[in-house]
Amino acid sequence: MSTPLKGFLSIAALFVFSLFIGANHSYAQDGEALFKNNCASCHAVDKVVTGPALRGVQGKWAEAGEADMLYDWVKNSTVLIGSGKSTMANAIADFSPTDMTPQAVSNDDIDAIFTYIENFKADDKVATTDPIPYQTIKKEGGNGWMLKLALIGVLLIVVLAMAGVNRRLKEASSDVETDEDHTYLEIVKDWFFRNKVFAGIFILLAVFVGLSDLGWRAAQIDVMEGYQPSQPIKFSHMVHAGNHEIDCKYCHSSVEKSKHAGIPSVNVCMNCHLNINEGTYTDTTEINKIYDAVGYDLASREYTGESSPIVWNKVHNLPDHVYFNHSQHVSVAGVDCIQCHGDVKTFDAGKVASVDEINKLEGTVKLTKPVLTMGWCIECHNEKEIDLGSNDYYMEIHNRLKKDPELLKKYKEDDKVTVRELGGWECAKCHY
Amino acid sequence: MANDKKYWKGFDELKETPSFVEKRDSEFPAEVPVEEFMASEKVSGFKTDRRDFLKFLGFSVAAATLAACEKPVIKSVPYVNKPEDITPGVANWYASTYYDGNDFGSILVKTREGRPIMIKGNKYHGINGVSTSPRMVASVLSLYNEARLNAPHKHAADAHTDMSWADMDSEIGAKLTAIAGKGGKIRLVTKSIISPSTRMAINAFTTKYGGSEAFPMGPAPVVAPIDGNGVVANAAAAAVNVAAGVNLVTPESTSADVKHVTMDEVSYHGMRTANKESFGSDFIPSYDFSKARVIVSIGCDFLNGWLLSTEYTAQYGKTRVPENTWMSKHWQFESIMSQTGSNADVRVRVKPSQEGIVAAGILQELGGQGASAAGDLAGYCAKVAAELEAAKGKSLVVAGSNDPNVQIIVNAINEKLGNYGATIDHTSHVEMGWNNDQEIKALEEELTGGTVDAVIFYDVNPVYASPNGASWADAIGKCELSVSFAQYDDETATNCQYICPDNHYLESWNDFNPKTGHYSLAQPVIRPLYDTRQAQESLLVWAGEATRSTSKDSTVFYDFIQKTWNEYGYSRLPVEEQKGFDTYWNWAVHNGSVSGMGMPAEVGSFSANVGAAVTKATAVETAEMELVIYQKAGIGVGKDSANPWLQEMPDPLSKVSWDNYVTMAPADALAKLPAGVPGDGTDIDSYEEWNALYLGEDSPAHMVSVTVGEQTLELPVFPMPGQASGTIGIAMGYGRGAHGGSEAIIGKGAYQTEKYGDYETDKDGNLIPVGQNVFPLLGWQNDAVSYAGMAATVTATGATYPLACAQTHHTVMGRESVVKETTMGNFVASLDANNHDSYNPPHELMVIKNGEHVKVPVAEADLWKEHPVEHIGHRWGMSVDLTSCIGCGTCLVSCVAENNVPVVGKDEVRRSRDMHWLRIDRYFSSIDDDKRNAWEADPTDQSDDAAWSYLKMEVAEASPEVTYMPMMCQHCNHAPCETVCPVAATTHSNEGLNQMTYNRCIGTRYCANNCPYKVRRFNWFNYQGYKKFNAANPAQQELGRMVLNPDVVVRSRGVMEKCSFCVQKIQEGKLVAKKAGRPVEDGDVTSACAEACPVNAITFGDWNDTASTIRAKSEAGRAYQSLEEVGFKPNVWYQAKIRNVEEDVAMADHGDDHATHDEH
Repeated sequence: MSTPLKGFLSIAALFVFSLFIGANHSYAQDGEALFKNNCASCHAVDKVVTGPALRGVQGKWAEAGEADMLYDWVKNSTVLIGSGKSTMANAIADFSPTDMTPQAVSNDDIDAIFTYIENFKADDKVATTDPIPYQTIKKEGGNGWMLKLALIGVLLIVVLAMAGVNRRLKEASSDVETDEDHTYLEIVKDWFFRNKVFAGIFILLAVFVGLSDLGWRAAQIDVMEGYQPSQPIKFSHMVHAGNHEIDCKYCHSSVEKSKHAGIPSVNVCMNCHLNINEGTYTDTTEINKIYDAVGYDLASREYTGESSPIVWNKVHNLPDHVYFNHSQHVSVAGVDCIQCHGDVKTFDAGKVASVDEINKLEGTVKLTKPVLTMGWCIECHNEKEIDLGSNDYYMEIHNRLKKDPELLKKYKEDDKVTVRELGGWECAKCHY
Repeated sequence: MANDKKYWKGFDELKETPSFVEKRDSEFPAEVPVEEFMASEKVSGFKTDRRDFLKFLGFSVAAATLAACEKPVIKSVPYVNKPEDITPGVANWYASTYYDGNDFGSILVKTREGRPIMIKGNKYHGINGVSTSPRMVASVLSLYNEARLNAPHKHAADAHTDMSWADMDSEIGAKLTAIAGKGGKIRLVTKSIISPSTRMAINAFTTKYGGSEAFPMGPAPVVAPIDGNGVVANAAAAAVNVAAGVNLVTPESTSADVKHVTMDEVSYHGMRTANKESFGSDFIPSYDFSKARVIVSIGCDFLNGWLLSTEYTAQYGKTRVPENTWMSKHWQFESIMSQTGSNADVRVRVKPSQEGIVAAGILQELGGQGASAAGDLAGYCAKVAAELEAAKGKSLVVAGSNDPNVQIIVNAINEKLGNYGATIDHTSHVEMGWNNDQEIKALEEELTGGTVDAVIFYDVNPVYASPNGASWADAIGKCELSVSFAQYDDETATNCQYICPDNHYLESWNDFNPKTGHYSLAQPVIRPLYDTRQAQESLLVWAGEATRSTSKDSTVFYDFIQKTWNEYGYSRLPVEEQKGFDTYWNWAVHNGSVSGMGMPAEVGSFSANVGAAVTKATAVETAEMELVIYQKAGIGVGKDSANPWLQEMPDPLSKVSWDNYVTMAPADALAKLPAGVPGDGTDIDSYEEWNALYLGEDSPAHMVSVTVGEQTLELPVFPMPGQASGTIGIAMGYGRGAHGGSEAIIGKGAYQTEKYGDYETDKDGNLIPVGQNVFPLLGWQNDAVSYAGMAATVTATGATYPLACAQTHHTVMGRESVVKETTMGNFVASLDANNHDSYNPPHELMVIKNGEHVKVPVAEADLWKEHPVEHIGHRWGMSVDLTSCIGCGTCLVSCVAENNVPVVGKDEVRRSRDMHWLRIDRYFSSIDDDKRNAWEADPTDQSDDAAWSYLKMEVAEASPEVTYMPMMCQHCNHAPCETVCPVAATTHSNEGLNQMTYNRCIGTRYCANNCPYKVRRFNWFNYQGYKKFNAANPAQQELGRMVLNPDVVVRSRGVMEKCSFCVQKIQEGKLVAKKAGRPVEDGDVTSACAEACPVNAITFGDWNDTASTIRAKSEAGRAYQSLEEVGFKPNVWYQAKIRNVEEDVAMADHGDDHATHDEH
């Protein structure tokens, strides 16, 4: 195990807890709490993680006639190994290079823990959680029913045309004479001629609908709302940020430092998934993809050194001529992630939340333009107040403004200084 | 085993019956009764024909398009294991060092996501400070040159093959061992090695194969101790420890004759010889220009390419600040208009053969053992001598000549002036320039004689860069073994059996000892792009000192350097200073350099036979036409000739890009060229005559053939004002890569392109390199190579050739609102009086008030309202000091790198469509400036009207003064471009920036028309994709694209672009301050050009910050705004040019010297 990963084991423990929600009663409940607080960062009940699986351990020590020494082992294994009294301890020391951290627990506590362990039922883990199926992923940029309608139209015309051709060929190749010399088109034309008013209205309507549809579509160009591409790994934000309440910034760690929030590199995943080998809903299939990418052999718990990057589909796309910096918004302005990304906890794969969804959330600036359009950006810049006192940078700007009282008065007319007033609407803030 | 089974479908096929054969051979299996069918009356009556087919086709295309109408899915690939110190989107800077044998500098390299994209000077550590050269800044692009060899390469008679390093090592190792065994001759030819570790690697190699020669170089690397703050703590103690010196490896055998020969493009052999004669040791001393009040340079281009020119440039800049109330007085005696000469206060034109006479003349006037000069020169010598005498110990005389005699005289002058120990430290030695001209000559003879068994070339290219390139090429073939470490299949490498490509320096570890007591490190900033290996590693492997690991991430030489630094640096610190080698090493790598104390060299006192030197130096034969071979600021000695950034950078003086040419005095040119208007033929006395020499889009240059000895070159002529009559100048570094035939073998930028893309080829289909190679024209004088003074014959061929000249006009045409200048005396007086109106008067407009003509300040006649930039946040401003600007072009290349400025190639530059956001206008003084001044002072007196005209003001003087004026978008607060844009694509920001929004621009070009500074650039093409720019534009190559700055958009066709004041850097600087919760401090935000300027001529900052440098500069007496009268209120201030001349000297120098006597 590489050194940086060790530091995160305590965090990993948090997720192991969640696997054991529910479980047992009375005595064992204390044991559960103790287990989670003291042991779960390195031990699981039935699985070898950093430390060995704990089910049946008590029995093994008892078999060796060292049941009492187990307490000493838990409290301070190094001392026990040093004393050389315990054959079990020596055997473990030979087996594992990592020392077990001494635990400040009483003998009763240890008994409670083992009681919990022996009564633990692995199946309990999902019993109290509502199984939520992985959200159906919408087709990338799909045109939905419109596309289907268009295709049906095309097919219809093709069928009609083919039928017409077929009819003519039949006429030609056989001696059968048809009474009608008209093509389908001519029939339609005749019909139109006979019902001029009705046909006129129909054509006008069709043109109007067509044009307004075209206009509506043109307005939607580059509107990304609802875009939720499929991903190579069925990663669920709902599980990670929702159920397990992992902070967004834990994975998207460069959000405070860089213009990119960053897709976490696989080593970040491994901080937790070194120990969590099974997903809440997808069992091992999706998590195994992480192991494949990073080159981790679960059986031997070793890195193979052969890695291959994960190719994600980018969700939030801005055109090349737009410069956007996450750290400016997150570290300086203190904008919450939900302001632009919506309640990520409620969806699985990353998607572009719509402005309506975002407006429903508490504490967001209410906006009207579609997300990721320039209108949306500058609308917010127009609304958002800058707390001049929050940062000495802005205090200095304020001090300079005070030299021009009239201008300051103008700025303060609405009792706030907005981003726009400090240049948030200027082209070169985002375009260079 | 071949399968001869037969497969068949029926018996007829098995038996090949005649009917089957007939059926098989016909195209269609059976006759289709088409004609019969079509003949049917009913069918012929159908209207279902071509039109219906087209309808179906159109419909299905439309349907398919509709179905495919989806946004492309953009992929995003994060690291698998993110390196700890890389955050995507945040740049990392690493300290490193540039050294190519000709230039040296400590640098900082910017990387983004692991790609180096920008280079600037290391202002914190090293000897050169922020000072770099255009070549150093542009070198980052050469890293991505796709012509680099990507594997070890073997040239055999019939086939050229790539090999593995293992095979290469065993083949070369076996051959070397065999040669050493039979006592053969092995020659290792390298550039001047200033790397202590490389020196030791070479020693290991030579001793392994039987050489016993220690290096004729400085003492062992000794690095001073440091305390926690990186301050030299106990330098003296370390110096004591140095005495041990390098312990050379004991030779295994002495049977073979192994020798290391140093060879540089530019030789300093004359200087070393002179110092050996003067002081008993062949050193080059350290110069300190910053201490010199009087600088006299005799043909020495110390601001460009001469020894440690980056250090000298920085030092020189410190003496060119008039506000100090003193300023160095710079005299230059030279033939061509060099970059250094153009900055001189007084420049005297001499022929190369007169350099010795000048030196002897000055020495004579100083009371030394010289010889008096004759004619006008005598007067100058006396004047110079008097000024030098007055600044004893605070003066410096340098000469660029490779003639030891001239150098001895110069030594005598400096000795006489007491400059040794003051401005010259001869106990601290420059370690560059080690080549020994005689040794090289001997090697050449050995090689051509066929007595050398093995020859190895390391970063030298004698087939290109020596007078007898062709004979070198033949001679290399005679060797049993020939190896080159070149990165390209270059002129020399292509003649060698093996090429073991070296890493680019940005992929390598290295250490350097440029001068006594200074050590610096180069660290790799990217993993090797190709399967290349450092030359030092190859040598160590062949020496049996190391085994190569199989991966690219070999640490052989890294370990070796560490060992060296541990042994000779760290472990020699006093014990109490030793705080762990890792700390010491990390500190050194972090800073990129260590300034310690070398052991001061023991130098004898001055004792040279000056008399003999004077006799020889003054008796140099003169010729009617003398050739000077010089280095251009962009191309230098030609190591990076294929670099498109450098090729496109206009030369500081001629403003010509993408070409080599012959510079001639305009009068000489008129006499030689058919273009001269009938007249006296020797002097420009009419505009018509001048016009004949004009180089514009439709006025091509005239070709001449230059013959020196048996060598002839054909090149176009550039008439260069200020060139000494009777001399011609040709730059080195051109004509590279001609051996490649039809391949761009050293990189795409090195070859001439046709008008619409594609390379120009000769009749055999070979690519034609840019310019001609001038090295074959080198001379030999007083036992040293000579770069100047070769007798040349110049004849016009009658042909013409288009030159791409970025500035076709020469003078400022008397527009004093563009360039303002005065003398040092006047400036100091103005400073004392606190009134600068004499040279920098505020511009006033004549208006009619109450029926009377009155003068009012420009601001009062303003039509516009004040733009509210003075109290809201920032107001970004820039100050450009015309006094200290030396016109080197580093800012320009730096701007190109920072802002993804496209390269457009020669043809586009010729059409004035160059895209540089920052250009440097070069103005010569014109003949009629003074007469015009007199006329303007008293417009009523037109008695002398005929004596001058505006037309004649176009004509530069024969010996002009030069002003460089960096010109970029002035970010006018009342910008004329903003008011005419129909789509508001260019607008003004609260911070005083003139913003250009590319995605809004529709390309009407009204703004460019309305800009009085002509700084807006229009994208006529999609330079990143259009075939015309395939050769020139590096962004068209997979690798070349990697140099683009990801924070700046790449503009597309049809939009206007211009200097943005590096708005991305402004935003970044503000964000850093905001995140730290503090105001922006002066110096936080700076532009790429300001950062790159080696002499700090450009200052950038927040004008609204009342304590800022830019605010102070904008209010200084010298500050003015270009074209103030038009009232655009720019945010750029220029500081007037101050020349350290007395009025009368400047006047006397106007063409009034010995070489030509111009009458005007």
